[in-house]
Amino acid sequence: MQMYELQRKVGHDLGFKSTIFIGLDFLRDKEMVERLKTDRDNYGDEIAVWLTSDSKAGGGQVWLIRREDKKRVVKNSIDAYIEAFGHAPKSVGNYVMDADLIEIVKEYCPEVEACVAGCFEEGVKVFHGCNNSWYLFSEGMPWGPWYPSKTHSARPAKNYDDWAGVVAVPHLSRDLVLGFENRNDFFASHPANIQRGLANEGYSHEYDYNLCDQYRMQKDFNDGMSYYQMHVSPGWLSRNFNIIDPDKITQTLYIETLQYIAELRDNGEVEVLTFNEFAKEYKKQVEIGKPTVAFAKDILMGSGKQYYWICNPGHRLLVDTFQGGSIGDLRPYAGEYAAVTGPDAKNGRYLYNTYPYIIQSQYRTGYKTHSTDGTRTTLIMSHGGESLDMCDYNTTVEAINNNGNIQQLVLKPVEVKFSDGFTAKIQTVYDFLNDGNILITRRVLSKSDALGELLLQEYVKASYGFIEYPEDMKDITLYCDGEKVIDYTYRNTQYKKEGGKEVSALIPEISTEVVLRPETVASVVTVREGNLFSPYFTLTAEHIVNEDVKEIKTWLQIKKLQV
Amino acid sequence: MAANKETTGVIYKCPLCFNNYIDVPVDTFEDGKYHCVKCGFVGTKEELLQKYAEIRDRYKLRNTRITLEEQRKF
Repeated sequence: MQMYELQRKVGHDLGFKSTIFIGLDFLRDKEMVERLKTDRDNYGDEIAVWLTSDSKAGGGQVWLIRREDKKRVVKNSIDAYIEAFGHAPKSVGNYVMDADLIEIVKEYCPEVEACVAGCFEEGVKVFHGCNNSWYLFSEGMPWGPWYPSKTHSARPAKNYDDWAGVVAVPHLSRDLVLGFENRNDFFASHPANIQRGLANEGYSHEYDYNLCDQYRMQKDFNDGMSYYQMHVSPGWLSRNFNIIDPDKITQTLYIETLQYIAELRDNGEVEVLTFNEFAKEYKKQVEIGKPTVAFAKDILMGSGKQYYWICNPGHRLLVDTFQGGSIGDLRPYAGEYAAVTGPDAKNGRYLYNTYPYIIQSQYRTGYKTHSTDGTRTTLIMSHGGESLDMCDYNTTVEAINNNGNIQQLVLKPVEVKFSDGFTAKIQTVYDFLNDGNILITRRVLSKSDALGELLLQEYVKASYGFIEYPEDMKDITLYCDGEKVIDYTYRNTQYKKEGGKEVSALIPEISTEVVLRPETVASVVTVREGNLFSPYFTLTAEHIVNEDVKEIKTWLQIKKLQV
Repeated sequence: MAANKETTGVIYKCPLCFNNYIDVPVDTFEDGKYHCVKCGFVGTKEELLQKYAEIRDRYKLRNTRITLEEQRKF
C-alpha cells in the first residue's frame, strides 16, 4: 500500500490522470473502492479491471484457463466492478488476452472499449531469461495499439467485420531494437525493469528518456500518431528481489521518468490520456487496417543498427539493414491463422498466443553462422562463377515513404565487388501492401562494366513456427507455376524451371501460402525442401541483368490458404 | 534464497547466467561466498559487483542522453 500511495501522490502531483488496474480482491475491498472513487472524482483517474484467474480454474494466468473458467472470471470481475462503482468498466486487461477472452469480455460487457492484450515480442527470450519459468508466449503482435481480430488477438483486424470490437494496447512499450534481439522486459517503458536489466548506473538512467523519445520519433512515420505507456505495479518500487539498486534509486528513477513525461505534456509535445480516453481518440484518428511503421535505431548498445518494422493486416515484418536489408522476421497475417489459448484450445497449441512466423532470423538462424542458413531473405549476386550474398553488406534506411495503405522503404545503395574487380551498385526498395503483398525492387544503379555479366537471384528461405524449435513440415507442399512439384518429405529435393513464373509453398498448419513471383519472367526459378537437420523450404527466382536491365522486381506474397 | 540485508532485501543474481540474460538468484553459503543454483559460479560480493559493472559496459550509451532530435539524425 505504501508504494501504491507513492505512485498515487506522484501521479496526482504531476497532474496525471492515471488508469488504475485492480483485480477482484481489491474490487471487493470497500475501503480501497472508496479511495479509488475519490481519485476518480477528484483527479479524473480511470479504474479498470485486471482480470485474474481463480482457484477454481487452477490459478495460473487468465488467458491460459478453460473457456468456461474465463467466462466465470470475467463475470465475477465485471459484476464486482459494477457493484463497487455503479457502472461498467471501460478498460480491462492482463499481460495477454487471447481472442476467446476478448470475445467473452465484449459479450458480457459491451461497454469495454480498451484492453491490455499483449506484450510485444514477449516469449522465448523472456521464458529462457526467467530460467524457463515464465510461460508467456505473445510474439508476432504489433508494438503499439491495434484493433485485434476476432480469430487471433495478436493479429490486427483487416476490416470492421474481422474486428473483435476493442482497442488493444501492449502491456508496455518495448525497445524496438532490443525487444527483437533480447529480452523485451529488460528494455521497456518501465524504469524498474530497466534496472533489472542493469541498463541504469545508479541514478543515471538516460535510457528511460531515450526510450520514450524512440517512441516519440515514430510520429514522423505515422501521420503524427505514436503511443507510449508506463504500466508499473507498486511491487516494483520497494524490496523487489529483481532489482539490485536500493529502493531510493528505484523510486527516484520512476519519479524522474514520469516527470519527463509531464514536462513533455506541459510543452505540448505529448498528450496524456487514460485508457478509455485513448481508445476513443484512437478510433477517431486511426481507421481499421491502417498500417503502422517503426524506424528502430539502437539507442543503448551503440551498435549503429537500424531496423524497420511494418505492421498491416497482411503481415508484420522486420527489415534488417545490418544484413543488407534482408527480412529478419515475417508474420503472415494474411493467412489469418486462428488461435485461442487454454487447456481446451482446439489446435493443441495451448500456450501460444504468438502469431506464427515464417521467417524469424533470431530463432531460426537467419544468415549462416554455423551449419546452414535458416529463415531469411537475401539477394544472391553472381558474376564470373562467384556468388556474393547481400546479407554480408550493411546498409541503412534512406527513406520511409507513406503512400496511404502502401508503405515504402528505400535502403541506401550497396556496392559489391567481385574478385575480378567487377563492381555493381544495387539499391533495394520495398513496397508493402496491406493485403500481404510485398514488392521487392532491386535497382541496378551502376556496373563497372556495362556489358559485364550479372545474375541476381531473389532468395527466400522460410519455415513456420512459434518458438525456436521446428514444427512438423510434412504437410507442406511446394509448387511451381501452379503445379505441385514437391511433397515435403525432408529429402532436400529441388525442382528447377527455366522461364518459370512463380514458386510457392503451401503451409496448411498455419493456413498460409507463400509465393515468390517475379514481375517479369525469370530466367530460372527453383523450389527446394530441406531435411531434418535444416528444416526449411527455399524459393528463388533468378534474373540475368544485361545492359538494358535497370531493375528487377519480385513479389513476395502472403495469401490465406483455405484448409 | 536468503535476502541480502545490505540492499533492502535484494537477492543478487548470478553474473554468469545474467551474461546470457538469464535471471538466477545466488545464495550465500557457509563459506561466505555467493553460489549459483544453475551454474558453477562462486564469488565474493566484490566479484559479483565487478561482474555487474562488466555487464553494464555492454550498454555503451547507458549514460548518453539522445534527444528526439538527435535520434532523428542518429
